[in-house]
Parts: sequence; C-alpha cells; structure tokens
Amino acid sequence: MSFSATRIARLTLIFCGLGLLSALSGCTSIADLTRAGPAVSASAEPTPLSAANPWLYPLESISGGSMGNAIVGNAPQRLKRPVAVAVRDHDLYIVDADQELLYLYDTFTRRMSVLKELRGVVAGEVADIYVAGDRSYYLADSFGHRVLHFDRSGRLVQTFQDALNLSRPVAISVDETTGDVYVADGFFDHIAVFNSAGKLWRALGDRGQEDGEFLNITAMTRGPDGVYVTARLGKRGQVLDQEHGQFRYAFEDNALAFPNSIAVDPIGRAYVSDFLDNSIKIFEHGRLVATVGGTGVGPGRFKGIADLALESGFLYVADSLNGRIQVFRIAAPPAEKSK
Amino acid sequence: MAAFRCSGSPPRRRKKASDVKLVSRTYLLLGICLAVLMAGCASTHTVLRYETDPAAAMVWPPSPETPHYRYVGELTGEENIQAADENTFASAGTRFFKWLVGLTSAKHIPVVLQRPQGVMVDGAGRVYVTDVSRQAVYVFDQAEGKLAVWEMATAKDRFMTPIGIAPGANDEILVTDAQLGYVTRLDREGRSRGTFGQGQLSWPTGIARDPVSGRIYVAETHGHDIKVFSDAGELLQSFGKRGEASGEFNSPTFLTIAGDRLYVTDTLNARVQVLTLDGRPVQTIGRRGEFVGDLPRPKGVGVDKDGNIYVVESYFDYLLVFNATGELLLPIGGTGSGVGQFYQPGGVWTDQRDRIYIADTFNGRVVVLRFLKEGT
Repeated sequence: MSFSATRIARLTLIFCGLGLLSALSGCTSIADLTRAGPAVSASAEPTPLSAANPWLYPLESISGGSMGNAIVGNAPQRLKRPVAVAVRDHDLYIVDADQELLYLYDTFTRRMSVLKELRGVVAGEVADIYVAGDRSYYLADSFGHRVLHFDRSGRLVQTFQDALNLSRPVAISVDETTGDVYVADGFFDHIAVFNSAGKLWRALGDRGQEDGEFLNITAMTRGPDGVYVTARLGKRGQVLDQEHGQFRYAFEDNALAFPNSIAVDPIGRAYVSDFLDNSIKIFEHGRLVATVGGTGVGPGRFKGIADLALESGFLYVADSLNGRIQVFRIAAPPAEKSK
Repeated sequence: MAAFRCSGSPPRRRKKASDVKLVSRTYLLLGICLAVLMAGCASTHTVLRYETDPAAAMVWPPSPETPHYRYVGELTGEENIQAADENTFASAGTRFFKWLVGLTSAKHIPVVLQRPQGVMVDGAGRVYVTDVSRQAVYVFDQAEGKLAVWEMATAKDRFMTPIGIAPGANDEILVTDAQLGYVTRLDREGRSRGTFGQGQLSWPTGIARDPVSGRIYVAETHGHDIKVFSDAGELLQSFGKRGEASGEFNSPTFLTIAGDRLYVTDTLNARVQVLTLDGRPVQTIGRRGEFVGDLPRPKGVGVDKDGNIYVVESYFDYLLVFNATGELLLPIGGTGSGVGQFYQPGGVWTDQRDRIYIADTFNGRVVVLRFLKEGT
C-alpha cells in the first residue's frame, strides 16, 4: 500500500511537471502570436487613403426595430416599403406604404412604435411627411387632394385643401416662425402657401419651361437659398425666393434625370435623389459636385429612393424597395487653406 | 486521474491493525499531493489575449474599397488575461482544488476598466491606461501576460484624476493627475520616483515629452496654456493664453509630439492646433460644425509614423484620420457599444507597430486598430 501511495505521489509529480511544461510551451506559442505581422510589401502605386466616396459616409441601415412592451411582449418589426421619412431630434417618422402605418423609430433605443394607422385616413400613398417642433405632423395625401395636420397624439387638427389650387400635393414644408405651410403641387405645378388657419393665400411658381416654371413637380424643401423644387420634366431643379417666388437659380443642366426627393443642409448643399440611377446627387448652389450610390442592396446602394430627411449632419434615405432607412453622416466641406 | 486517486477515499479491502498507520500516511501523502498541486497553481502562466480573428475582423473603409484599417481587438480588464493553456494538468488540479474548498462560489469582483481616459504603449508592448473612475493606472503587460493596477501617485497620495500619460526619461512613465495638480513619475513597477509641477499646475491633463530635447509639455486645461518642464522637473517656459486666435487656447486637453511639431487639442475652440516646439502656431485642423470632419468636441490626438493625424471626436464618437495637411481621409466609428463604435472616447495612441489604441471612455475599453497601409 505504502509503495503504491508513493507511486501515486511520484506520478502526481510527473503529471505536474508535464503540466508545467505544457503551460510553458503554451506561453511560447502566444509569444509567436504577439510577434509583429509580415512586412508590408512595397507597392509602386499607393492606394489613396481616403474613402472613394468622401461625401456621405454610411453609418447604419435601419430595416426595423423592436416593438411592444413587457406586458404584450417584445417582437421585432420589419419595414416593408418606407416611402416617406422625417426626422426630429433623432426620432424618425417613417411612413410604410405596404403596411399603411406611420412608425416612430427612436434611433437611440432602436425601438419602433406605431404612431398612426393610415388605412382609411389617407386616400392613397402618403407622398411626404413633415414633423414640426411640437411633434405635430403633416401628411401629404396625394390622392385625397389635401394635406392633413395631426397633433402629437394623432388627432386631426387641420385639413389644408383648395379645390381650385391643390390637386396632387407631393411635398410639404412648414415655416415654423410664421406658421405658413408650403405645399408643392404636382398637378398645378406650383407651391401653394397656406396660413396656419388653413387658408390658401399665395402660390409660388407656375407651369412651364421658363425660369421659375415647372413641369410635374416631384419634391420641394426650404433651405438657405429659398425654396428648392425638383420636377420630372423641364428644368429639373430650381430655387425660388421664399418671399416673392422669384427665380434664383437652376441646377446644372442634364445633371438630373428623374429627381424625386430633395434635402438641403444648413450651408446650402442640396441632396437630390435620382430615381433613374438610384443615386444621390449633391449640388452646391446649383453646381453638381458629387454623385453617390447606385443600384444595389449593400451599404450606400439603393433601390428606389423615396424620400430624404436631414438633421445635424445625418442624412436619412428611405430606400423603399430595399425595405430600409439608410443613415449617412455628411462630410464637412473642405477646410480653408491653413495659415 | 492522479488527483482523484490521491484525494479520494482510501481502499476499503484491508481491515488490519496497521490501518491507523495507513490512514495517517495517506493523509501525509494527500498533503504532499495538495502541496504539489498548489505549486502547480503558483506557476500557472497567464497571457494577454485581445486579438480577434483577422480574417473576420471589421475593416475601414468597408468593402469593396481597399481596406486601410482593421479592428484588432479590445482591452477591457482581466477578461484579457487568461491561463496560457486551460487544459494543463496543473490548471485542472487547481480548478478541482478550488471546487473542493469552495473557492469558486466566492464573490469575485472583476478587475475591469471603468472610464479609461489616456492610453500609452511603451517599447515593450505594455499598454498603460489611466482610469478616472477607478482612479488608477492599468498596465496590460503583453510580454508577461499580466494586468497590474497602480493606485498610488506617490508613496502617500492615491491617484484622484489621472488623465495624461507619456513615456519619460530613463524608462519612467509620466502621469498627470488633474485634481492632485502635479505630474508624477513612476518606474516600471509603478513606484513613484518623485513629482513635479506642484504649485505651478492647476489642472494638468495632456502630457507629451520630446525625446530629442527632453522637454516635457503639459496642457493646463484650466490655465488655458501649455507649460514646458525639463526632465528634472524645472519649469522652463509657458505659452499661450485664453482666446480664439492662433496660438491661444480654450481648455487644451490632449497633446502629442511628432518630429518637431506639437499637436494640441484645443477642445473648446473645436480644433487641433499644430505648433512648433517653442509654441509658434503653424497649422489648424478642424472647426465647429455638425459634419464629419468638423471637431465639435475633440479629445485625443496622435500621429503615426506615416504622418497621418488621428483625432478623437467625442461628440459624434469618431476617430478621424487626417493627412498631414489636415484633409479628412477617413472617419471610423459612430455612437454605440458594438465593434467599431465609440461612446465618448478620450485619448488615442499610435505605436511603432502601426497600431492605434483608442480609450473608449464610456464603453470602458481600449479599442485597438491596425493601420494596413496598402490594404494588406
């Protein structure tokens, strides 16, 4: 017995020794791991370090969010065909035309909730959404020939309509200091301006092919240079004075084929989506400076851009047929030469 | 197997008078076994692991473009320190012994980074991280596979707000403590070798040392200037004052030196100023704004050996890569806690192995990236 016990002790010692050895050999293999990688082979043509697209940097892609609560249960909800998007304090308002729902998406918690069921409320697809600072929202009901204004809890507070001057509203912008509601009309080809009480009191632009005239307006927004309007035919992109509707300037000729949404940043760069080639074209005071994107499903690629929204350096793109909102960060304009 | 036999119950076949003697002998042997096991425990080697699989790691810019930066991994604390080989006999024995005496159920408070601010890597690959929440300096030692936490700024003072960290002369490590208001020199074991700047510094943050002249630059965030000390700790010079003009500062925070240029993060002026080593301004990078490449809240600054400038922009949570002329090359990041995202990051460090270390403050980690140059 004593013999066998000492043998056990001896065996233990041997095993421990083996264990130590293997531990040490483990260490050497880790030392190999931490060695510097292979030397970089010198290449004749250095690749430029900057990204190929230095205008819009893809940040993320939102194709849905978590919905529900602890009582009814949480479930992921996917977007099907987002056709209109607006943003306010990093909260996204997304109109899904297939599901006929207006979603609120919180970009911080990545949670989504249904703000309003649109079935029976609007006659067809919602063409545009505008969210005001008090979180009330405006929906362009193209087929219903009107614009609906809902308060933050979804109660209808105002209907903007005018049988003789508003037929197919395609875009909305609200001047939140005066309360004026600018509605672009794709049928009458002008911008109808309503006061906050719902009374039409003036219109900017007219149908035609001259400066300040449009053929088939597709989108409109307001920015530092005035009212930015895109059209399917004629002059594709023009900027009008906000006060009197005078022509300011037109976007570069032949730069746009089928513009269908527009967003403008605070320093006057305009982002226009082109339905023809699934791209976003960037203009600086009418001059085309970059074309971003193309058809596809990857980051920075689109299928049927339906709407653009812009806030504090973030650009949100309703990539409708890909069923997602793509988020981009906008690059700063090039720095002035340093002293 | 041997462990089970030596710690198991003795065989019950024999029942003789010598049983008592046998039992005592068995206990003796059991003791020897345990001693051997514990010896094995003491010599268990640990390694520092943080690297993810390079083939699957995230790259910037994303494909199909040529990648220039690759995610390497992150340092979070003792999670990165593991036994060299989990399956050795010694470690199995140790685990069994721990289970036997109930050590595994004991409440264990993990050593993790809390709010890392500054980061520095020395020539031996040791990563030093200042943590303002833990009020200590963490040392991740890659060569020895160990993690140390240094809590003492001097023999009697504990760290209060350690922020800036830089290599000093004679293998010393220089750490600024904003609240203590001085710079402490530590040796490689974390022992204090004296301090300087007491009474001359009110809120020291960033620190950098010019290895050529041996001058130490300290950013005075509340004093809005840069103070220059000799290696001996003598105040040589001070430049800048509060203001917006070139050469003036508004809460400077992080510093770095590359060649004969001093890079100062002029945080509340929303820019990085490049100065000569005697304080003459030569270049400004960034401005206030909301677009990528603007610097609404710049923090750490670093320059790699190819001359690229790295600026941590902690408002929109980006690491921005600029070329030497100040053009934006690439943004890396975005807000979040996932891979390739940051949450109010602080300092940045570039080492000689083309690695970039970012103190991702509110995610409690140090993110390591690798510069791939030609996309290799």
